[in-house]
Amino acid sequence: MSGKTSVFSKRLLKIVTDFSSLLILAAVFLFFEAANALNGDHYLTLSNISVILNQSCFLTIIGVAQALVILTGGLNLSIGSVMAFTTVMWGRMLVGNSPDSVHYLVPMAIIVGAGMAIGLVNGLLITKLKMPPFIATFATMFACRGMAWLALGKKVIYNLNSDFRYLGTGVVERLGAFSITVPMIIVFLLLLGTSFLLTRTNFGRRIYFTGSNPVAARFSGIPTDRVIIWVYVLSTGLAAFAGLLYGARLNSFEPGMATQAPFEAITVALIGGIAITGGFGNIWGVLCGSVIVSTIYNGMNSLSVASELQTLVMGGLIIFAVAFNQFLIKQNMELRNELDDSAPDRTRRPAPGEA
Amino acid sequence: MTAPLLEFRHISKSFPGVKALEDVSVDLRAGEVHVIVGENGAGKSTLMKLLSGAYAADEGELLLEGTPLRKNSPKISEQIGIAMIYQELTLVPELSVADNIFLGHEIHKGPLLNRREMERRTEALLASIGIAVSPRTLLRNLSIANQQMIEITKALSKNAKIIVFDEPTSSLTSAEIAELFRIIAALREKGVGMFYISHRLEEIFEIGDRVTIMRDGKRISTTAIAQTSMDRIVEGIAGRRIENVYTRTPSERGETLFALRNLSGGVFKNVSLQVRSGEIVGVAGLVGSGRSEVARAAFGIDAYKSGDVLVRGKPLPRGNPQTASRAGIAFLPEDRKREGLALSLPIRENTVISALSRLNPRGIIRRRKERAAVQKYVDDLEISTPTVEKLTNFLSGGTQQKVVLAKWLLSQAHTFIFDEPTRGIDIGSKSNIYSLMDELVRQGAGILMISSELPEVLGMSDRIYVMAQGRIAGELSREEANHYAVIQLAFSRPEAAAEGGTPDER
Amino acid sequence: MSASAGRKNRGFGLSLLPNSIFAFLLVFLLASLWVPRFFSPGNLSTLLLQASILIILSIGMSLVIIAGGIDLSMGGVLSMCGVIMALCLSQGMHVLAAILVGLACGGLFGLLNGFFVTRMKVPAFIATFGSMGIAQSIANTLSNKRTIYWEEGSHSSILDFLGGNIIRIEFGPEASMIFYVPFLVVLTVIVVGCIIFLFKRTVLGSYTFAIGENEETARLCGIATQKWTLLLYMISGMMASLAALLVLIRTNSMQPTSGDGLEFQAVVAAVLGGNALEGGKGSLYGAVFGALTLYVVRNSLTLKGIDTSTTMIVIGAVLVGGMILNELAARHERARSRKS
Repeated sequence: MSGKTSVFSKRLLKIVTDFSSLLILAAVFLFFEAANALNGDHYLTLSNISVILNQSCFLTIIGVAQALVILTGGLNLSIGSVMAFTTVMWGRMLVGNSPDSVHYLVPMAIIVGAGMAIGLVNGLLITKLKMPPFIATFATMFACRGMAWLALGKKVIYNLNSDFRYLGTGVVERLGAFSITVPMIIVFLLLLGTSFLLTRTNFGRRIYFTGSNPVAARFSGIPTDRVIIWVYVLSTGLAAFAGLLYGARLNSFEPGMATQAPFEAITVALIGGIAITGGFGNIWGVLCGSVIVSTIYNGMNSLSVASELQTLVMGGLIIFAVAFNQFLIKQNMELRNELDDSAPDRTRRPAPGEA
Repeated sequence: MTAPLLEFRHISKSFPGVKALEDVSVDLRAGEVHVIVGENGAGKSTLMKLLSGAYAADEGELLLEGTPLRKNSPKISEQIGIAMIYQELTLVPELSVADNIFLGHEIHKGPLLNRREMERRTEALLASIGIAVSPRTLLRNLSIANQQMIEITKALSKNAKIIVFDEPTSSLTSAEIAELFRIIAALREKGVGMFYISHRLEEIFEIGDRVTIMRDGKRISTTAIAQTSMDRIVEGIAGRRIENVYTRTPSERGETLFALRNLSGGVFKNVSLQVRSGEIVGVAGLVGSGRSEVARAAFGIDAYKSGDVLVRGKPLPRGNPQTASRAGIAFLPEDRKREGLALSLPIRENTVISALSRLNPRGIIRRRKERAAVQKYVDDLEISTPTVEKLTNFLSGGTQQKVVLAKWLLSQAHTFIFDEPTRGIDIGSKSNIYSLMDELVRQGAGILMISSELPEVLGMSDRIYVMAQGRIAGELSREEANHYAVIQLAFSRPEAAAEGGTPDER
Repeated sequence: MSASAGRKNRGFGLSLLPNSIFAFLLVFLLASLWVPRFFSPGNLSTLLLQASILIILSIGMSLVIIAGGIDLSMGGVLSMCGVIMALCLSQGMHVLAAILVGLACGGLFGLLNGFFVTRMKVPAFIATFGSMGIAQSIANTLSNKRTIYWEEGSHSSILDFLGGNIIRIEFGPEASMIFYVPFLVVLTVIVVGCIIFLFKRTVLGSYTFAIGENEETARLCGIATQKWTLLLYMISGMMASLAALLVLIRTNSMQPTSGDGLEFQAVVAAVLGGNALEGGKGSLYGAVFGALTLYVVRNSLTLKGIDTSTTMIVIGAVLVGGMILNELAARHERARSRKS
């Protein structure tokens, strides 16, 4: 093969591996379209896509929360319990619409703040007591779930403030059958913000570096403990925020909510191409991951797959997704290297005035 | 004459970008200690890895007692009686001495382990080389030196005919080294053939029968120990490159940038030294003399008990690499892959990591400025890469070292602590790094260079501190320094002199 | 390198006991002092019976953890194997055959986990988490999400014996004064004893430690690391199915959700027992004490009439506290061995 075509095919392959999540998404869409077509149904309608995207919003938020932590080489198992605990503790302030009650932003701030405080505990356990992230967040997971049950028992907080509920259910604009909902806007802004944080700020650079090699990070003068603590504060705070949106959509808060959330979040993040070893991955991949997972859930429902079988599919999916992703990441890095080498030397030499 | 026990014949081996071995032929006779010397990167370890089956040769063949070895793997090499003793131990700390020695080839009684028999044999093996350790002791309860002895015993338990010692003495005290040599002598009597790799030239004359000198992947010479001298070996190792490799231009000495005052902790005691602007200060000493530990403590990586680290005369708060780097200290670790670089990230992100706050004071990255800054250092240091986006994982050792250097240059450090600056770096990049160091001090920086390679220390340093037993044994100016003066100090006993007591052995 | 350099074996002293025994004794002492009725023959018997299931699980978990892995599918496998055994019984299969089927399913599922970890190179945490979902799904599908009962008959008569007591001593008329040893506890002791025996007296133990310490080194020592890792996951799967048997006998029925969350309790017990998640370090005895510690806490809270939700908080706290205690004990030991 001549050098030119091999570079071309490598470039093509690299694009494939770069956008592997998108390709998987397309494959999943096609699969359900075909499967539904057998029943004479149409799966990929504008309204269904809008439903899927709306459903994926919650997954995206917890996925981002998990991805932040995974990027530093950690793990956050406390995500679901924190959602339950914080909303159950202060969710009563969001009940009803009486004019004398406080503005709904006040309890929201309290709840997110409480989540961040628990994140601080996570971070301190990991950095100061040197506990493995798995154990540390596992302990807070138990403790938070217990406190949630203790606070509310078998009761449920319901009938929430309608302005608040708008955050979870509101529709901003209808474009035919496609509805742009408030959660979509929120998630889009969140992704924009997180992406900016990770790629355009010093803090983001330090997150990636710490995740890629914590020892080298420390030796390079990065305050790794502080970076890790902050990441857990953000992640856990984000989890509390996700709990708010979750409650807003369902119009209730209950202590047993979202028990699977930390694991769903891991699935979403890993399918989205975040490396479990840390230091590698693009946050937009998480969006892809959550849309894939939502599509699969939604598609299985459209085919009336029993819920107990859905667990099986998701279980198998996470295993294969991770195996596949590890393979892809390695391929991607090697292709990138080969392409770098075949690029003309020093193409990016700055103009004389620039340096 | 019968065929030698083992023979490497015209071996060549390449790695991407490096020719590690080129037409190397070496043989080993039964009952001899064959010393292999050479600088880091000369190809010694690669040669031994071919023997252990970890690598396969590109060209040439390996003959065992005259018959070519067609295939090799760790398993095969073990079966034919080749044992490797590495610097890093390959033992399991939670298991007993006997279990470790027989790990992988246990003695069974039916389906069960015959512990009694294993312990009995272990005891006999240990006794045969005179080590007084109970076979039941958990390995983690032994000193490093004793663990090393267990490693050797393990090789013996497999009836190894060929044993490779890869720098076995690096973590041993002199009494322990004497003990090791006694064991080696006993093995020689038993007809075991041994390769012995060492950086300590003095040891060669004490233990070796023949010596092979390697340089840049080639065999330079093989001679009987009796027919050579220290000078000739040193010359052989260094080649006639001393003049052209080391670049030193006289430079103006300025203020004291960095100093240690009576620093004590861990394995070092009362270490005082200074580095002034415009000078390269070498720190020599045997491995284990505490050189690296001092540097790590000074940079805040490890804790120290007492004393001060002074930067431009002001004490540096302790225990935190962050404050040290902010104060303008740079640390270039020995193990670049593990401690210096984030291998999954590109050159650009590795280079700017320590200068983020300076480049982007508001915390938001200014891409154009960043790219320009990185490109400037890539050009200045002649980092050979097509683009600054190349992942550092795929760079050669020398280029990686330059990226680490670029990182600290960009952070505007004024004092550079190099820990083994050229370990594992090919000769071309080496001289490149030396001239960079020279350039650095000419521009007013200070360099503290820790190195095991004497020619490097002698060739580059303006002043040399020699450490022994965790203390500064002496200081030599460039004029006073020579091979013998440094060795003399490295083997001195400053501890005994300081306290008038006997040195304590771990 | 003289005789003084080699430290003699310290013999069968305190040092051989796992550090977790201190946490256990502390908790046991506190419970005996503060919780009325805790230190009564009846309650201690109940405690042992309750803890048996977790002890078996945590032994399997510890094996995998010492080898540097983790098995989060244990709870799911428990449910799955329990449902399979119960279905076999309800179909009139003989108990012993049903048990064999259950054990085989557990072992096979463990092998599947091992395959994911060794061949597909999926991190153990992810692989076994995924297979947890698979196992739960199978349990729910087979049982139709309902509790399974079976008609008693000759084929199930051994169950009465298995569910009975071996020893029964009455210290008084009240139930709390009757000390009894259920057969299940004896079974647990036998199983745990066997595993510990195999661990100590065959290569199983040394290979597990070697793989957990450094898989590459173990491979260079000639250990077939992949095969042994597969075996360890298989054992842990079989432990889960054994635990399922205990649940089945105790409740005389089987719910498809019996195992939910038990894998986490097993991790807690193993970690409390001094098994480090990074592998290469730990003790099976330790896991037994870890499991007992957990149940002493749960039992005393129940006796005090404290809500189960508090138990969860306490488990979290016990975990953190236990980790700190273990770390302190290890530090103390290191300091002592440095001095001597």
